[in-house]
Amino acid sequence: MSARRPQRHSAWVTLAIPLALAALTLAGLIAGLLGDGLYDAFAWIGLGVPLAVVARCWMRK
Amino acid sequence: MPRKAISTGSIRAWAFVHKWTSLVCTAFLLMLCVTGLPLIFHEEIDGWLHERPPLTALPEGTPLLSLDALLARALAAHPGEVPLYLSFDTDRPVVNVTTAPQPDSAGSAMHFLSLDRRTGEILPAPPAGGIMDLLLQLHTDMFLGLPGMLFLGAMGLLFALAIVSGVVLYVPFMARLPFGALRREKRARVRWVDTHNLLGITTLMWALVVGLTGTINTLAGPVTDYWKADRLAALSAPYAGERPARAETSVDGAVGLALAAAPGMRPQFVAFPGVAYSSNHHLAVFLQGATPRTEKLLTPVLIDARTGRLAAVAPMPWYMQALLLSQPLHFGDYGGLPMKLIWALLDLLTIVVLASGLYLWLAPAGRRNARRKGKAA
Repeated sequence: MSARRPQRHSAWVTLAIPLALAALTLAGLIAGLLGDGLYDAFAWIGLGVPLAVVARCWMRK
Repeated sequence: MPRKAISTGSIRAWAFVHKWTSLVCTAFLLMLCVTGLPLIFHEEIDGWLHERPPLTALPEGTPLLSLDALLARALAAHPGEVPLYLSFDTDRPVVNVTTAPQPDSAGSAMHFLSLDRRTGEILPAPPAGGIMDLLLQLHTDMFLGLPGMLFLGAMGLLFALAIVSGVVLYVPFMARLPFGALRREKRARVRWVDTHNLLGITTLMWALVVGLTGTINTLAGPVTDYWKADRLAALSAPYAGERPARAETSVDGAVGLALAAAPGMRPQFVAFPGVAYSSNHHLAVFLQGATPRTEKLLTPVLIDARTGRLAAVAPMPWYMQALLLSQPLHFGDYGGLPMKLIWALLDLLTIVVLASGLYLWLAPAGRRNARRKGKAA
């Protein structure tokens, strides 16, 4: 195994974060439909976390 | 543990799907994202462009006029017309009446009046045909009516396919890279691939839901027609051969009967005989739930237009419920202003995904590869 070429990881490893974000988004979308107040707050979090993840990746050196 | 990598052949096939579904829909999706951005805030923008004049100040608990009296006033403003719809504002004592020469008149021939339920005063109408109306028209059907709408619905399906094929390609592409890798030291093409991948994969669920609910919304007309044929036609069978009814019965009576049949709900609108949301022989009183969880779902109660008797409580079938739920999920208007702001940011990110995808197709990537291949040979 050379240092230049990192090892392949499995599809599950590649997709772990994307699937978690997708699940969070879906939960947020549905929560907003179920009620107001706390439900809406959960919706903002569910939809906002993917945005925060993008911002973090962008700001990372 | 053995890791089964996706074969080169199937990567090629998925890349083909991703390339062509994206290429066909990108121009339209860009238009939808750009026009959709201001539409997210249409309520705020409308209120800001033309402020809604406040209602006359009257003491709390001022009695309301009957719906029949209000309807008579609206009809007097447009003599010879018939009522099509009567709807209730949720935040103020106002009803909105739509009238037209015939129940099946075109939208352009319809008149829309708002009336104060306490005084019967006809409220000044907001000006029509503003920039927001144009954007909405462009966004829904590109001024092409039903064919334009269905075409955009098909673009939504292609967009969904592009997302799914993009996720499949993401797996082998990212197999040696950590999540969120942005290789800034590399050439422009690599940087844009990384941006495209990061934004595409983080927004995938939102884009999929907004895209597919958009497609469902383009089917609203045909699905409503189907519902009418499927559920309302049976209720009209006893009237076979009779001329379409005019509403002779009291609207107040109809709404009262409907509320008695479905306690705990509130009326959202009344559809008069012959319109898209009723049969030729009934008044359809559409009730909505009174809680946030149930307010999106409607239950029509049908009242015989001649006798005023309760004909049926006709809960919406699954496909109409799906249609009703697709609206908020597409518009993003069900979680207050913070949700709208998030919707707008996700929309902007989707624009970047589309534009970077287009760039990657146009950018001279093949040339470099070709040169490399040439050297190897």
